[in-house]
Amino acid sequence: MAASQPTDSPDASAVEVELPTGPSRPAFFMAVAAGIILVVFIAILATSDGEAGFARSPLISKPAPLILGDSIDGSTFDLDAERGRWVVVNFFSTTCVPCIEEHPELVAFDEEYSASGDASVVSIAFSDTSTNVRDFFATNGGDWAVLAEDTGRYAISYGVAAVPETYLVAPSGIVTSKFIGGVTKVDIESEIARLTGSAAAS
Amino acid sequence: MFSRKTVIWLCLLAAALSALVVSTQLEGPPRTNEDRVRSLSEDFACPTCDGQSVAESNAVVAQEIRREIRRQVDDGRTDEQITDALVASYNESIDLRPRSGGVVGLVWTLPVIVMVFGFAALWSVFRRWRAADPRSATDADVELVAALRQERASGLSDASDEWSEDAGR
Repeated sequence: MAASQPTDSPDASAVEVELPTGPSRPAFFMAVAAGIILVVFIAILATSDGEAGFARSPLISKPAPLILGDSIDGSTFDLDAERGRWVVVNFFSTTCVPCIEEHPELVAFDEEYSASGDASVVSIAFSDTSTNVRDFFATNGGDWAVLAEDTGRYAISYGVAAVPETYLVAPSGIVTSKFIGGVTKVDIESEIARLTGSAAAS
Repeated sequence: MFSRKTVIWLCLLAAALSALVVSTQLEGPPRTNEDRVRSLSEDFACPTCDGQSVAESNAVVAQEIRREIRRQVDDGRTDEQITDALVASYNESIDLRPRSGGVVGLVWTLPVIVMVFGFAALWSVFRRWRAADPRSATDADVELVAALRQERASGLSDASDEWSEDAGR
């Protein structure tokens, strides 16, 4: 007690002289400030969609990034030339199992809608070779534009993380939807119906 | 005009500030495209990996992003253009660096604010302590010491060993 006396006394007397309310006042303000900061941080963390991460595509409602290149059949595909119809942009690779599983769905979708000009499909191989891609289409069917060489730039500009990923581009050239993982004919149909329904209603 | 202590502090402050200014203005050695690709790929998160950068990961998408960065650097795009393009297609989760605006900007500003307030608080507390610590003797102190001295001086007639040293003065 005697040892602590000299160190305590100047502090205690100082607070006594200048702050009649007692020594707890600055500590109280500090505690309140720390409490406010803590609450703000908790609020920010609780409301942020941090876990959504890469699932949220910033391309939705934006003009579709350019796709312009040679198809494996030698013709040139230009996404801008497809204005006026829905375009299903499918990123795939020949070795990915969900891609093989979803392929018949795309074939069915294409057969129903491409002849009428309502919709078209374009496939873009991700990190693959044109030989493999040709074999893949010969085996699994599908008669639409397929880009196989030097396609990394398209995948990156659409924000592809892992195949399969499918993007739906409206007749206006705006990206409306992103499907992560395998897609079905019904998925695409119901999405187009939802979008055209809401467009007609508004 | 100024006390010696103030002059020393001002000199220190000037030296620190000029060192900061010089270090920000100095340009490093010219960066090659290879350097830019490497440092850029360290700034982006691999979208399919947990906590790895594009530079570290061997995932297919990381390789493709590296190749795309390489292509854009060779095309003469600036670091900022490349970053903006990747954020535009993947969203800001891909950018590993904290952004300077919005709530994330607090990462940069909060430490500075806390430091300024901390120093200000220390300064005011020290000043208060110094003001409350009277180094000059009060009248009561002087009286007390005088009384003790007198007592001691009268006790000296006993030639006590304890006080002999003081008595010599």
